Amino acid sequence: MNNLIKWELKHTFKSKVFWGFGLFYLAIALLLLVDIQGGELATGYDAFLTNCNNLRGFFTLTIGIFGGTYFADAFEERRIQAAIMAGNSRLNIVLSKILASTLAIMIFSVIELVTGSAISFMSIKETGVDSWKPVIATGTLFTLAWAALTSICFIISMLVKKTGAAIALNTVTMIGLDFIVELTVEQPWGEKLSRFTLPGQTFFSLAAESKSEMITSALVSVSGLLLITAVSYIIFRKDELK
Amino acid sequence: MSNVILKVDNLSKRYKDKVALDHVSFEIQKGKIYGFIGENGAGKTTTIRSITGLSSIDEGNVELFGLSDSKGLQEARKKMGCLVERPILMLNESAFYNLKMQQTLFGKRDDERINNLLDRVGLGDVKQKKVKNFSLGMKQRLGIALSLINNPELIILDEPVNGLDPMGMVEIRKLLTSLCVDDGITIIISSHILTELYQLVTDYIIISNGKIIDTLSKEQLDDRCSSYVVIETEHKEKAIEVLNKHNFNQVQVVGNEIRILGDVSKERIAKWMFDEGILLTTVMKYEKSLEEYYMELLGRK
Repeated sequence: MNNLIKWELKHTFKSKVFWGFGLFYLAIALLLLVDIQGGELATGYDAFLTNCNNLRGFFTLTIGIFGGTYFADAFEERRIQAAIMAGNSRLNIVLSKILASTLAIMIFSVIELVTGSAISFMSIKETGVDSWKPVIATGTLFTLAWAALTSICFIISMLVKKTGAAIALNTVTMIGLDFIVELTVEQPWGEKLSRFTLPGQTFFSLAAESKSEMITSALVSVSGLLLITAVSYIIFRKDELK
Repeated sequence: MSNVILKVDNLSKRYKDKVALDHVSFEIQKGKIYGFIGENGAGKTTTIRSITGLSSIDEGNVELFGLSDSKGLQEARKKMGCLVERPILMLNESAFYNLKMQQTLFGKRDDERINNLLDRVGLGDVKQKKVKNFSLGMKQRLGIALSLINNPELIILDEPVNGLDPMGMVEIRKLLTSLCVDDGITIIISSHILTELYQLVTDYIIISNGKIIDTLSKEQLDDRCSSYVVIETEHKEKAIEVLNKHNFNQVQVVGNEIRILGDVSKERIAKWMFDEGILLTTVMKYEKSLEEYYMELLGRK
C-alpha cells in the first residue's frame, strides 16, 4: 500500500493538471485583492468568508474538470491497469487514488485560502476574530467537504473511462448538485436535509459556528468520503479493464 | 517439486451473449517459452487479462506460483511481468524515468538495475530521451524492460511484435531468447501468427473461439508438419505390403490415397512399386507448412 501511495503521489505531483490547477487557484486568491480593495469588507474574517465563497463558486465550476482529468487519465493512460498487474489489490488502488485526490484538493484549497486569507488579514487591519481557531476550523471543514465531494468524480470517471466524457459528466454533476442545494436550502425542509449531504456541506461548513454544527459537518464529510470509497470499490472490484 | 508455475483450469468468461472463454485449461512449465496462438478474437487477450487480474473470472481457476486465492494471486503477480497489448508508458518522460516510476510501484530504488535493463533492451544510449520520440520498436523494447523491472520469474507478453518491422522482430526475438536462456525467465508470448513465433518458442498453446484446441511442443509441431508422399493405385493392399517390406510402417489410407509419412522421396516409392509391377496412377510429395497445419487445426481447410 505504501508503495502504491508513493507511486500515486509521484504521478500526481508530476502531472501538469495538478500544477495547472494549483496555479489557477493561486491566481483566484490574488484576484480577491480586487474584492478587498473595493472596500466593502469590514473585517479580515469577512474577507476570509468572501474568499471561501469565491472558492466555492470556482470549485463548483472547475473541480469536475480536475476530477475528470485526474481519474479518467489514470484509466485512459492505463496506470490503474499497471498497478493491478503489479499485484496491488483493487481496494488499495481505490484507496490510494482517492487519498491522492483528497490531498490534491486540500493543497488547492490551502493554496487559495491561505494566500487569500493572508492578503485579507494583511489588508484589513480589523481582523474580526479573537482567535484563529474559527478560521482554521472553517477552512478545514470546507476543504474536507470538497475533498469528499470530489471523490464522486472517481465513480463517474471509472464508468466512462474517457477523459473528455469524464470532464463533461463530472462538471455537469458538480454544477447540478450545487443547483439542487441552492434550490433546496430555500425550502424549510430543505435546509435540514442539505446539512446531511456532501453538496450541502460545501455550503453549510462555511456557516458552522456551534460545536454541534462543526461536528455534523465533519461527520457528514468523513462518512460521505467513506461511503463513496466503498461504492467506488464495489463497482471497481468487477470492473473490466483494457 | 513441480515445474508448473501457472495453471489455468477450466477458465470461462462471458461478455453478455458472447462466450469469450470456454473452459480454457493449460499449464506453463518453468524455463520455457510458450507461444499462445489464436486468430484475432480467439480469446488470447481475455485469457491474459484474467491471469493478470485485469478481468474477472466467471468460472474456473488460475493458479500462479502455487497460489490461487485472490490475495495469493496478488502476491504471485509481484513475481510476474506483463506487457498487455501495448506498453504502459509516460510519453512525456524519459525511458529512465519510466523505469524509475515502475520501480516505485514495487518499492525499489536501484538506478544500476535500470541502467542494466536499458542496456539489455538496447536503449542505453537514449535513456534520457523522451519516450514520445521513440519508434514503435523502441517503445516495445521499453515495455519489455518495464515488465522486467521486478526481476520476474514469468513474463507475459501480449502481441509484442505487432506492427514491428522485420528488424524489430529479430531484435525482440533475440532479447526474449536471451531472457529465457540466460536468465531462466519463463515467457508466454501471444500472437495471431503461428509462423511469427516459430524461431522463438519451445511450446505452443493454440486457442480458437475461446477454446484450447491444441497444446504441443515445437518437436511435436515439426512432426505434424512433416512431409508425406501420396500414392494412388488400384492395388492398395499390395502396395502397403511393398512399403512394409521396405520398413515403412507409417502409412495412412485416406480414401483412394495411401499417405506415406516420413522422410522419403517420391522417386524411391515409384521405383519400389515399379519393381513389384504395381502401377501408380498418382505419386506426389506433399509438404505441410506451419501455416497449413494451423489453418487445418482451425478447420479452415
